[in-house]
Amino acid sequence: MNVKSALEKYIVDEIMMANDDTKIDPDESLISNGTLDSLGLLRLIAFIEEQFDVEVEDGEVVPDNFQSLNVMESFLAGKLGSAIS
Amino acid sequence: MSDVIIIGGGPGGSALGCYLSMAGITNTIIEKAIHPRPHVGESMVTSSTRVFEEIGFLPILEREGFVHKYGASWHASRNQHVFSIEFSEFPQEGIDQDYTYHVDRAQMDLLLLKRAEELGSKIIQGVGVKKVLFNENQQATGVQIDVEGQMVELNAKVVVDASGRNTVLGRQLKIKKNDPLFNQYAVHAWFENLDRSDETTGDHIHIYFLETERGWVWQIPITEGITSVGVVVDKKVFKDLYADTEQYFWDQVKTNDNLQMTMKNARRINEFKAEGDYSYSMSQFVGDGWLLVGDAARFVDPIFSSGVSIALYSAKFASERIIEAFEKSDFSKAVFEPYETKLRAGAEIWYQFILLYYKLLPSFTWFIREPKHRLGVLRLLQGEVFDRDEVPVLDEMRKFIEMVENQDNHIFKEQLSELPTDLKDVLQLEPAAD
Repeated sequence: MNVKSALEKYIVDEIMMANDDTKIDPDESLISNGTLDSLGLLRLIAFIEEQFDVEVEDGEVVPDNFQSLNVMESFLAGKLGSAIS
Repeated sequence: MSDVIIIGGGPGGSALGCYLSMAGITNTIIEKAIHPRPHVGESMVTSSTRVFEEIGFLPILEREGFVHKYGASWHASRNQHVFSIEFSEFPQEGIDQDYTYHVDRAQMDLLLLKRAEELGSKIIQGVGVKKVLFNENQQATGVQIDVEGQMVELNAKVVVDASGRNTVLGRQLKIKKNDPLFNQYAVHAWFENLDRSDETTGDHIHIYFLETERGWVWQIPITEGITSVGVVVDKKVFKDLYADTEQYFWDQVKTNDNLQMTMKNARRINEFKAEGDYSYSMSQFVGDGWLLVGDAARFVDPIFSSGVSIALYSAKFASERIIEAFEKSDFSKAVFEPYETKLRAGAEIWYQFILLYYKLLPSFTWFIREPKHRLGVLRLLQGEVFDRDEVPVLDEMRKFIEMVENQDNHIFKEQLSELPTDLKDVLQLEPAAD
């Protein structure tokens, strides 16, 4: 499973508690539309850290990094890239 | 005549009686009520286990079947987010069991007082102390008690005030200072039929965040079927909005989704009780011939179940100085001062932690969840506040708050409360000069 679908699955199952076949538009802002409130985001970050073995810094908890699935994917790509190098 | 008179037979007074009796120092505990009597403060922290063990009280807690407390859970007001910790994640030096207790204080305090009696303390119940007696050199010499309308004087080398929130000696000496930052107000009662069915967290203490600033609710299991629930808010919220306690209580409960679900079928089984004038400190904890322990010295806030732990540790530390005083036959303030320094330092860590917590609410959960902060927070929640020079996690919390405030679009920015950021404890006064 790629990064984006893992994130989508977690958000659908654990945050939205919606049906498995629920789809999220990868460009939709999940923070502006209320899907992710601050504590929901916190849980998502915990999931990300565990799942992808990365550390999100205190200062990185900004909408710019978690706005949408696509934004999260590129934020994580940066993290994972730097973890490899 | 006893060597030491202890005013109050709550956990602080009884533990002190135990320690002194074990050291061969005769002592009398004078308790205004007749135990068992109800009392707020029904949840413990794990550090208390050391004291319970030293005074031989652990087997009694186990025998009586008090509910084991393995951890704590926090609930966001909306969207059903839950964050939990378990004490077992971080072992504590000198403590073998990874749980502490939730208690019916009426029962526990009675058993603790009996334990003191068993070890040799003389117990007088149903008798109030009118005042502490002093000689012309301002040295405490005993107490005056009211025995069915007749005033009787009892003398001792040392008088310890363990009268809890009554603060008998603090009021007499006019050394009590209220905290201007915190004026929290609690309304609480016992309920049946709460939903505590979750296997892993059913016997945790549960903290529910409310939408009111600094508002929260405790859920503490007392027995298999009975649960204590208390609503805590800034006093002005309660005073401005409500005349009816029942209405107020349930209105607040409705502002947390998870709490509302948990209490859906709950039935109240005793009267609502209220606690106000929460946070205070005496400007002096010791003097010639006297010491203050537990709530009689200082009370911060109920949020982290620290009250009984502070009472027990202050009894332990006070007993060490009192034993030294008897060895030297010197009962002057100077002998007791190291106790005050130690207790203030520990209480100050609780205070800073609690202040930062109320500042962060509910983004405090970041510190519970984030692996790099979690153990530091857990150690404080276990009650490890004494003899610590550094508490890195408090600095991390301060840095975090500063960072969030200075960053334009941090997710937690709107959640920080209005509390000042230069979080200096205004009650952390130096001992008053003579």
